[in-house]
Amino acid sequence: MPILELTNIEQPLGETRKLSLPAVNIEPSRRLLLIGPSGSGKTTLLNIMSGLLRPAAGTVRLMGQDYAALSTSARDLLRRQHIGFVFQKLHLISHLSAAENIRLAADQPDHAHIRALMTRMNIAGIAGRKASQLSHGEAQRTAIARALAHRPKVVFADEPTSALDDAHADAVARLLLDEAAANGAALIVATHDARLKPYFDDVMEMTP
Amino acid sequence: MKDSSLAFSALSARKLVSALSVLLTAFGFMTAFTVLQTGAAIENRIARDSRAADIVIGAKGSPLQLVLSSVYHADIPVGNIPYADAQKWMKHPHITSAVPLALGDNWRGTRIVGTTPAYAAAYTAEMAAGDWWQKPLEAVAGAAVPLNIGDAFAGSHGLSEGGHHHDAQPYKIVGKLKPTGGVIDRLILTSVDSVLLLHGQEAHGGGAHHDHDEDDTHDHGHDAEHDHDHTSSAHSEEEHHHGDAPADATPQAPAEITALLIKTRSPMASINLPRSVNRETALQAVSPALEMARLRSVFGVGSTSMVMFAGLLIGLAALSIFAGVAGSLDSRTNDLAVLRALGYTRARLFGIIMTEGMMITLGGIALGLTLGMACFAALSARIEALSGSDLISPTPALAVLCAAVGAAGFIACLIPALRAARSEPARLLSQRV
Repeated sequence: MPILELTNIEQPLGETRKLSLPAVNIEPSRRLLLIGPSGSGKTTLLNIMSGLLRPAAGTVRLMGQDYAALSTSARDLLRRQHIGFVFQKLHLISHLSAAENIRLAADQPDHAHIRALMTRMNIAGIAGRKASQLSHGEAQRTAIARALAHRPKVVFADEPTSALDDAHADAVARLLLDEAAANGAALIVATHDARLKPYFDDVMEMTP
Repeated sequence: MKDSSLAFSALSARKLVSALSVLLTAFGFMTAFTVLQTGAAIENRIARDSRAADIVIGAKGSPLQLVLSSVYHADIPVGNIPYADAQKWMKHPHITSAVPLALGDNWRGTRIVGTTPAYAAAYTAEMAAGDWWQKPLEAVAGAAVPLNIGDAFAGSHGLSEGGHHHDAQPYKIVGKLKPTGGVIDRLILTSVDSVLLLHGQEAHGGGAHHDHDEDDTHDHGHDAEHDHDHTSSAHSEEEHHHGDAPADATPQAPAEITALLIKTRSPMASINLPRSVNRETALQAVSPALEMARLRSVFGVGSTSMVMFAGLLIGLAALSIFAGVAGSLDSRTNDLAVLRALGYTRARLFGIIMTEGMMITLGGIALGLTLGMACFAALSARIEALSGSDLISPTPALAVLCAAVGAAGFIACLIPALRAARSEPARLLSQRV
């Protein structure tokens, strides 16, 4: 069964254009790259997929549940259970430590899982450091760990490499792919960064 | 991570603003608490000190002065009354007890009260050491009086220091009372006969010739307290010439006492008896409860003003909580949106912000209570009327105060919390570098 099913999605993009997707299914092992320039609808599609935006037409189901049939709080809880986010600006909460930021994702955190995640990502040593004191690399890895802390079914990453040099972009791309695989989560990355194309077999080109 | 930990962490991140809000709340609470606590302590003290009398009978004059001087020992007496007249009322069928008081002397400012052991019994004062007087010029010291058994001292005429000393016939302390927290702690008790003896009067109200009248003027030479006019048909204790009379003078004046403290058999008797006394005799009978209620109605204005001022402070504290919490939201828009994106429901975000506000409020109440108790302790150490009072009285007013401050904090947080609950997570995915 697909984790995420989008059927006949239609959503206006500004006054003249619109996003149209007849059908998209996200399987547990799928690694999908949504690539296109600004204004092509990548972010809108991520918002629709994650239930943060209700499309003008069409149906979105996460784990078989239609977002439209759920209340706002039920949709929030479904998202909390099954979706992980890596934001472009990371958005760690500055007054919390790295470990606390990661634990925010889970109400009953699996501490062994989180410790293993942090060790693999080489951030175990900075667990107690405030987010405001982390380097960009440490903060990026912390944000990815937060997205995976609650064993989500699907991880959305928005422009994860746009501000990075090639070496760091490579590291982040590999980390996302490896950790999504290690945690059994589908991965959907929205970017305009063409350097990520080689990492994905499944690429959806989005045009303005 | 627990929501309460998240709320506490958010408060810790803005220590200065949070501390300021807590302090403002605490000051408001402290002021209101101190006003209430002081009022409650004074009420307790008034009630405790007046339990010896439902009615006070004394000389005609100011009824409040009669109560203050005879019950609370906080004013000079209105005048004296013939002991023989008082004794008629002591046998009235509607009373359960009647305690005579003969005032007029002091020892270093501590009043010497001629009375009977029934006076101490009315305050449930127990003997700590020694025993009651057996003969004239033996005395019992209240717990707060710095005299011990065996000490001898000369009383001075008048009710404050500086009067003529009865050096020729000193008192001797034969008993010491346990502390009661009431007025009796700061009195020296002796027999009525002792006072009469020192003042050259016939004990037991012999009905001898009375040589004073309303036009009498006397040379006192004691202190300012003695200068008031003698307007009563009974005689002002302060205007008697006995201060200058030799202490060992042969008793010749009729026995006079200052007041009679009466406990009645019923509330109805407490109403009717004063009417009879005031209508039928040259004496005055007043109800301490009534007079103190009248006094409170005057001072109540002051305490109401203080409570209103405290209310204003609490209002300002609520505004401070509002400003602190609401102001922080502007810099936390992204944090709140992140939480929404991570699946925190609107209700949960509402709860987190309310928790932040209530932590400030409860912190303010706790600190305010501590400061208020410290403030009240300092006042108690300096104001005799408050001494011995409990630092905190679990009164309904205190519960109302806690609820009012809590409600003010709750209301102050409502708008910021509702705003936080409306955080829109979709915008996070639209933010670009």
